Amino acid sequence: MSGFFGFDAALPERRPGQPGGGGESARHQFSGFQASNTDETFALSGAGEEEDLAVYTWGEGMGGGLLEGGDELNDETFGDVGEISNTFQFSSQPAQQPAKPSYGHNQSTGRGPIASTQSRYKPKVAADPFAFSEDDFYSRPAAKKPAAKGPSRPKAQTAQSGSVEGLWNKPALPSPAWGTAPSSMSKPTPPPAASYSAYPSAPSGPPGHIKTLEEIEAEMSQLDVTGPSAKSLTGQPKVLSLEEIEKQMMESMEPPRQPTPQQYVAPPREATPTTVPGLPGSGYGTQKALLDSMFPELGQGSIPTQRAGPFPPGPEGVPPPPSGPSPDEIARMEAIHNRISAKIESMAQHNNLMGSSDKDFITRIQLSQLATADPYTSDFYAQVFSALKRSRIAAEGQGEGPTVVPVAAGLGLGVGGPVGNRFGKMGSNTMQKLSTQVKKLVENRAQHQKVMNTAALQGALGRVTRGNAAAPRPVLAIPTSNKPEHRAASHLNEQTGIHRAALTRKQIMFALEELYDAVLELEQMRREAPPPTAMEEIEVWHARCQARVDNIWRRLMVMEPLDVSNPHPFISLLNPIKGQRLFPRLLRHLPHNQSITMLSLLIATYPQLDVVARAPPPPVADASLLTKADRLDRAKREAETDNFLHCIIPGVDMIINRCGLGLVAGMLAISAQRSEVWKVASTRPGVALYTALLSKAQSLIRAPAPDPLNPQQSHSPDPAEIDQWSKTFTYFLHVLLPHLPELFPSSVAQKAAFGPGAYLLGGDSIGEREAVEMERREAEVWGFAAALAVNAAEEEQTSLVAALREKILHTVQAARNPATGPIRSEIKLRNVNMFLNGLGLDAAMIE
Amino acid sequence: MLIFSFFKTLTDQVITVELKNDLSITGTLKSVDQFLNIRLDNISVEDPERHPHMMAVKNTFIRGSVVRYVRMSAKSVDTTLLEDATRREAKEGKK
Repeated sequence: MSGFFGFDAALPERRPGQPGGGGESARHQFSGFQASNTDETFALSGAGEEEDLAVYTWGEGMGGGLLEGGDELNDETFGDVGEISNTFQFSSQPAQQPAKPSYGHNQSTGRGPIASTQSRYKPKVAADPFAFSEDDFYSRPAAKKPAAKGPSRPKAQTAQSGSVEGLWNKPALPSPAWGTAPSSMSKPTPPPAASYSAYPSAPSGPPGHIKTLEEIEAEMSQLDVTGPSAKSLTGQPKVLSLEEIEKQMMESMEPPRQPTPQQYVAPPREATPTTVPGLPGSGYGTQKALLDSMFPELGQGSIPTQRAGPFPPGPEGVPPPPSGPSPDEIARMEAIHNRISAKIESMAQHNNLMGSSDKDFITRIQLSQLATADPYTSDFYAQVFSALKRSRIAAEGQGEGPTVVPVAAGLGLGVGGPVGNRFGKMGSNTMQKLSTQVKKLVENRAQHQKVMNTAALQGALGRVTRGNAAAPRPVLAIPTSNKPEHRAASHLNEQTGIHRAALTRKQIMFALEELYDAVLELEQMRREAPPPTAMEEIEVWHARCQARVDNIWRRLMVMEPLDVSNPHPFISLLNPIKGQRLFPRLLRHLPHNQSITMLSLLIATYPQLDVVARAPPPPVADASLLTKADRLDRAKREAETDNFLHCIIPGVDMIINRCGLGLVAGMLAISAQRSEVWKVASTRPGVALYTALLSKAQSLIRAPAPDPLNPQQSHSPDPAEIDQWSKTFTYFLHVLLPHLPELFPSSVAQKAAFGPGAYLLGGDSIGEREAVEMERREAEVWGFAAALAVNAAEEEQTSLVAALREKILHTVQAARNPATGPIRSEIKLRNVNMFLNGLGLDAAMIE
Repeated sequence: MLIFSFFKTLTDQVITVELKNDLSITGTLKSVDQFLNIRLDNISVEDPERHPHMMAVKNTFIRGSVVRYVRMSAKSVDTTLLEDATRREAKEGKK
C-alpha cells in the first residue's frame, strides 16, 4: 500500500524529466505504456507519423474507455441494485474492515495473488530486470511490429485471437471488482502473481510472462482497432488493461536505474504518468471505500484470479469460459441475508436490557425535573385541553336527546368546527333555541307557551354588582388627547362634535390582543376562586375580578359616543373573525346591564358591521367568470358571515332572551330608526337578529308561564310595553313590507344574475348541494317571515300575504315540479309551511 | 413548556415523527419529556425499502434534538386554546 503510494508520489517528479528523455513520446501523455512503447520502437526504426496518430487515437480511446468503465461499475456497485446497497449499508463495512487490511495490506501473506507490492517487486529482484525489459522490448516488438502497424493490426489480432479471447473472457470475472477497486491492492495482483508464480517454477516462465504482456498488447491493439466497439464492451477490456498497466508501472520502477536499457525503458516510464492520472484521479479514499463496499467479492474474486494463474503459461490453450456471475450473485445474496439475520440477532441481544425498575427510575428523574412552582400555568394547554375534553365527553353524553328540529337544519350551521367544539355547547343550544322558538310559536299560535328554558345560560353569568362603567377611557392613545380639545373648541352639540377616524387594522389587532390578554387573566382569576368558606378572601377576589371586568369593559369601547366614528370602535373590534371569537367569551363575564348596553350599541350600529355592510354577494351561475381575487374576497366574506352567525348571534340571542318586552321593543325601534331595515334584513346576520327580536317579543306577549328558576323575568308584560311594541312593530313592518320579497336569497340571486346566468340560476344547472344550501338560506328568511306573521295583526297579515303571494306560489309550484329533487321540494314545502302555518294556512290548501 | 404541554395532549395518539436524517417514523406516542424526547410504540417506517434496519424495531425512543417535524391530525389540536396558551406564554416571558 505504502509502496503504491510512494509510487504515486514519485510520478510528478518524473514527469518533468520525461520531455528530456523521450521528446517525441511526451506528446502521448494519455496513451498507455504500450502505446508509448510501440511508439518508441517505431521512432527507433524511423517509422512515420502515422503510427503516432494511430497510437494517439488508440490511447485516447482507451482513456475515454477507462472513465466510462469506472462510471458504469460505479453504477453497479453503488447503484440501484438493492442487494448491493444493502450490503454496503449493512455490516459489510464494519464487519470486514478488520479483515481487509490483512488481505490487502499485509504483504507477508503467502497468497501470491493478494500480496501486493512485495510480490511485485520480488520477481524483479530475482529476475534480471534487463532481461525483463529486453524480453518486453526486444522480443515483443519483434512479434508486435507488424501488429502495431495500423493496417496490419487486424491480422495480428486474428493470429492471437485465441489468447486474446482468453484475456477478454478471463477478466470478465474480476472486472466488477476492479471497477470499485482500481487500486492495485487486491485485484490487480492476480495477473502478476500468475506470471511470477509461473516464472520461477518453470524455465518457460519468462516466455509465459512475455506472453501475458503480449496478450496485453494484443488486447490493446484490439482495443485500438475496435475502438468504438470496445466502448460497447463496457469496463471489461479497460479493467484488464489497467491492471496490466499497473503491473507494468511497477516493473518500470526498477528499470530506470539501469543505465543501458534506458532508451527502451523510457517509454514505460513515460507510460506511468499517463496511467497515473487515472489512478490518483479516483483518489485513495474513494478507492478504499469502493474496495470496502466490494469486499464481499474479494474472496470470490481471488479465486478466478488464481485460476487465471495457469492461463498465461498456456495462453494458446482454450481458456475456460467464465463461470458466469450467477453463482456470485447467489453467494452475494446469501451473504447479505446472513448479514441481515446476524444484525437482527445482534440487535436482539439488547432487548429488554433495561428492566422496568430502571425505566421507572428514569421516569422519576424526569418527573422530578418537571415539577414547577406553578404547574397550572406552565401546563396550561394540557390542563385546559383535558378539562375541555372531559366536559365535551360529558356534554356529548348528555346532549344525545331526540330533539331534532327541522329548522335547525337551516340555522345551526358550522357548529362542528374547532371553535364550535369549544363553545359548541352554548352555541348550538342557543341556535336550537332560536329555531325551536320560532317553530313553537308558529305551531301553537293560539296556545300560550312556555318560555324557553334559559336556565343553563342564565346561571352562567350570575348577578355580579354592576360595575361603574362611567367615563370609559379609550384604550388607544391617538384620539384621546384630541377629545377634550374638540369639546372645548366646538360650540356644537356634544353628540355631533366628536368625530375621528375609524380604527386602523393595526389598532384593532392590538386592541384585540390586549382584550384577549385581559380575558385570559380574568378567566385565570375566576378559576382560582378561594374556598367558599373564606368570606374575606372571596370579597377580595370578587373585587379583583370586578376590576378586571371593568378593565375589559373599558377596552371594549362600548361607551364611546355612538357617532364617534364609522364604524364605531366596538364594531371595529367585532369585524375581524378574531374579535368575533372573543365575543362569547366576553359575554360570560359581563354583567347583565353591560351586556344590554353592548347589545343596544350593536343593534344601533348594526349596518356598520362588515358582515352587513359588505355582505357576501349572491352566488353567480358560473364561478369561473370571477377573477381569483374576487373569489377569494367572496370566500372571505362568506367565512366572516358564517363566523358571525356562529359566534355572535348566539350571544345576541342569549342577551335578548333576558330582556323584557320594553327593551326588545326599544331595540327594534333603535334599529328601525337608525338603519334602513330592509338592507339589514337582506343579510343573514340581519335576518337572524330580527328573528330573535320578533320571536322573543311574541313569546313575551303570550303571557309566559312562570319560570321557576327566574321568577323575576316571568312577570306578565306591562300593557304599556305591549302597546309600545305593537307601535314599533307596525312601523317596522311598514318600512319592511315593500322590500319583503327581495329579502329571499333566491330573489336576490335572480336579480343579480344577468345574461344566460339568469336562466341558469332558475334551472337545475346549479348543483344539488348548492341548491340545498340555497334552500337552507331561504329557510332563514321564511322563518323571519313567519316571525313577522305571528306578530302581525289581522290586517297586517293580509298585506304580508299580499306582499309574499308571488313568492309563495312560485315556491309551492317549484316544490311540486317533478324536475325538482325530492330533497329540495321537501325543504321548499317546509319553508313555505313555516310561514303559512303562522297564518293558520298550509301549502296543501293552495290550488 | 408550551410545546411540551401540547405534546402531552397527544399521548396515545398516532403521530408521525420526521427526523433530521429524513427517516419518518409513524407510531403511537407513548410519552414526551421536557426535552421533547419522544417514545413511540408500534412504529412503522415510511420508506422501509430505504431503511431495512428499522424493520426489526417495534418501539423507539427518539431524542428530541433529532426531530425535524411531528405530524398529527388537525382534529387533535385545539387551535383557539393553543392561541391562548401562546398568549400566556408570551406574557410569562415578558414578566
